[in-house]
Amino acid sequence: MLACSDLRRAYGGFVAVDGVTLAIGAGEVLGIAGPNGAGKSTLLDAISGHAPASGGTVTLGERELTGLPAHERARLGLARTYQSPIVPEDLTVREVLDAARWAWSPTLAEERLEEARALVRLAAPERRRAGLLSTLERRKLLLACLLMREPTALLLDEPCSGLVGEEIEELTEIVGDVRRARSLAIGVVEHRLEFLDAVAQRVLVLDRGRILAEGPAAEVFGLPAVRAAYFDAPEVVA
Amino acid sequence: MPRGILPRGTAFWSALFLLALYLPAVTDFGDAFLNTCVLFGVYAALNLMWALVMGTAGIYSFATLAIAGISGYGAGYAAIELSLPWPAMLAAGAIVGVVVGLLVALPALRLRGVYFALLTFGLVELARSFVVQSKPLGLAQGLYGAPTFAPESLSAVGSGMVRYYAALALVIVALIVYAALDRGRVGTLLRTARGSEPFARGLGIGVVRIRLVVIVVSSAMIGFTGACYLAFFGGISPTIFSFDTLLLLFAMMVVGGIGSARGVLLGTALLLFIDQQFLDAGALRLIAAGVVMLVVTLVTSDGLAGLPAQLRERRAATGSLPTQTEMIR
Amino acid sequence: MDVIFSALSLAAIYGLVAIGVSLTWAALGMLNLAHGVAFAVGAYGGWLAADHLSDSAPVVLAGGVAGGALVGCAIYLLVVVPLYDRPNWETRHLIATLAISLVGANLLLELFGPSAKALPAVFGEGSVTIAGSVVTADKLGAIVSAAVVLGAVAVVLRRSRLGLGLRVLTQDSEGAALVGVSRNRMALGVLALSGGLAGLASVLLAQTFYANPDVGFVPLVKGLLVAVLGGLGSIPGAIVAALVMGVAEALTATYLGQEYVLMTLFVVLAVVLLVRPRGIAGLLEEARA
Repeated sequence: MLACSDLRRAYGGFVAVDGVTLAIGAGEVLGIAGPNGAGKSTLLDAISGHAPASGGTVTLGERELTGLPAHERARLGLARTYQSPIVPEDLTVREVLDAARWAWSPTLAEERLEEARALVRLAAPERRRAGLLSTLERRKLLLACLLMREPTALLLDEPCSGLVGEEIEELTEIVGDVRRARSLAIGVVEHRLEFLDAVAQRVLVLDRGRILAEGPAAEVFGLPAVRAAYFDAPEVVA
Repeated sequence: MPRGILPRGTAFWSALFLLALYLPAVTDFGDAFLNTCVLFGVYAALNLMWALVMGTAGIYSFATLAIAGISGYGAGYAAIELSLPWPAMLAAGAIVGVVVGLLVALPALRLRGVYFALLTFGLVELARSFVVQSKPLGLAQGLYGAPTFAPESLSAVGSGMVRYYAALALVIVALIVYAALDRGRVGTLLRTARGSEPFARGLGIGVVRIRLVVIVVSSAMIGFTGACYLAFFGGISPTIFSFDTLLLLFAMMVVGGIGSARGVLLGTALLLFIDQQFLDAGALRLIAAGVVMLVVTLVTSDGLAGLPAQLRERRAATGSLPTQTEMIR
Repeated sequence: MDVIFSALSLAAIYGLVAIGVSLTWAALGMLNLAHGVAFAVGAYGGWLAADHLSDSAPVVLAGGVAGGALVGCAIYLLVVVPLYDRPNWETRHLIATLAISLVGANLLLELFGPSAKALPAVFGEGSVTIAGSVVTADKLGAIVSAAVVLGAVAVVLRRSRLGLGLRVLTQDSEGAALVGVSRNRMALGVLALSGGLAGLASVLLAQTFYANPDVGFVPLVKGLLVAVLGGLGSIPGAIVAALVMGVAEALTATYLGQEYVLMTLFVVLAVVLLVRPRGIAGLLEEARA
């Protein structure tokens, strides 16, 4: 189970995450929605340790993660993806997979690599440079790398950005497969409500760094407060 | 492509090794040529280590010659004062290299690319101004009287051979260190962290630790090479800290291609050749080096050794012609 | 008092050189290692103008600015046009500008020989007494004109299209493309401006340095140090850093000796960077927040 309690993140005078408490059980998919600038990515950064939290705690199973650097959290079983597919572009697919296999000791056997590759349906040729892959293929490659280490929690940051119709369907199936095969706690930040509706058992709406609503997708998206936050939110300039 | 049981490139490296091994038998060795060969050995070893730090690990360090020089001076001074034999001097060089490397690593793990690059330039200048003003280190003339590889009882020809094969051995050792850190686990992790640091940390790679490893190991080898320089030439002068020397070695590394051992050796040979050819030509020598550097940089993206791959990629990108012929076949 | 004036005149010169480095970085993500060539060619430009045209101050200064700007344009043609946005730009631009700096200094050596050329004293030979210490007209002129030019550049960057484009570019490069700011066209302007400022600095400094083929090296190193200390891309940072380095150099040269100057500057930089990895610009931002 991945949980955080009263998590806060402020920089300058701006409070991006303002006391978020949540828990994702093993085998559960939690959708995290919210308008632009609601603090969704910042929340993931604070949980995964890529940006330090200003307050609150993060726990994974029995283990407290608060204050640990990102790579330590990854080793303890917390995996996360990014909005842009961040696999190194100069390396070949094989080298990227090997990097995951060898990331820390004990290194993994070849079978684990094959298993992860099959699970996310990664078909890209081994000798192709990662920079030449399509967005979906790169995302699959990243997922394969993360799943190889059999994490107990997985955070996906806007997995659908840059994808089109069929690709989103495939990704929906993959997320379902992963959940069934590994029974890990999955958190998904996503704009596309229909995607959240398809993969998540429970949805949480974030607005201005706070939890606005929580519950089954169909129910939450119908709430007046949620609709107001979505449609009346002032345009946020990127 | 035929794939045997031997790793790729075996034929190339064996041929090169045999050529180097028998070179003294087939050429008439003059003093000048021998010195050029020895200098090649030292420069190639330094450049291979530099390419490891800058290419494989992507750390913008210009400290290579500072580490080599400080280690050379340190080991030479110790050897002369304590009358150490040359093996002890080489060990001392490696130890000083590790210490200086650790000092360099400290800011490297905290500062962004260019900021760090400038600090390492500073280290070179610091070392130069210290040495030039230090009487025990020979001021601007340099430090002489260090123990050398060749015993004095040996004939001129014999000592020439000793120096030649010692230089060859130095290059081989450097190549082994390079291969160990550029290929396999450490190299893959270093290149992953260079390509995308958030990705590397997300995989659980201890980025700081592996960078520390590459800096310390390469610094040990650079320090060792610095001490070897004394064992070859009997002394060392502040020229090693000069901007021209730094530029020459940098040009060698990038002209050939920072991404492969072949490229580094090729660039070192090419620019050393130009350097020695134009030795009496004054300004023209540096103009020639600069023009080569500029042209190669404008034409190639990864140096001369990366040219075949670059052309292959361009062919693949511009036309589907090769694939079509493949399909017909 | 003497120390203050030499600190100020050093700061003025460093400011002119460092702003070029900083601007180029902001516009292109490029560390221009050929900036010293602009300085050196500027000195020769001033010398040629004095020799062939007239040794009146405006002509000599214009010669310096023209020489420096010319080098800026050459860098644009040789480095930015062929390499920008190509693979490995980050390393290749460093190599290319280093190569230009190598070729440039040695071409000057071939063309004009190793002997130093004296430039006319632009501000005359006189001197004034301020608060009990004697300041040469040359020093005072350098301080005043550098301050005026720096002020003018700062105003221009705030008001003009060039400045606006530059600010858009440093904030958000995709957004810049959307509103039609072309990085390529800006680059020529920035490099010519940077080169011109370096050329100006070299004529202002010519009474101390004289024109010789290697004259650009020390200003390049110090300009880089100042720009990095200030935080690359930040103009206020560069100006504050120029003052800091000017004071550090003047104090070191007076009390320890000239040979310790470069060492001191590096130590100052190392200390600041270890505390604040983004230099003085980071400190300024924190002070504002």
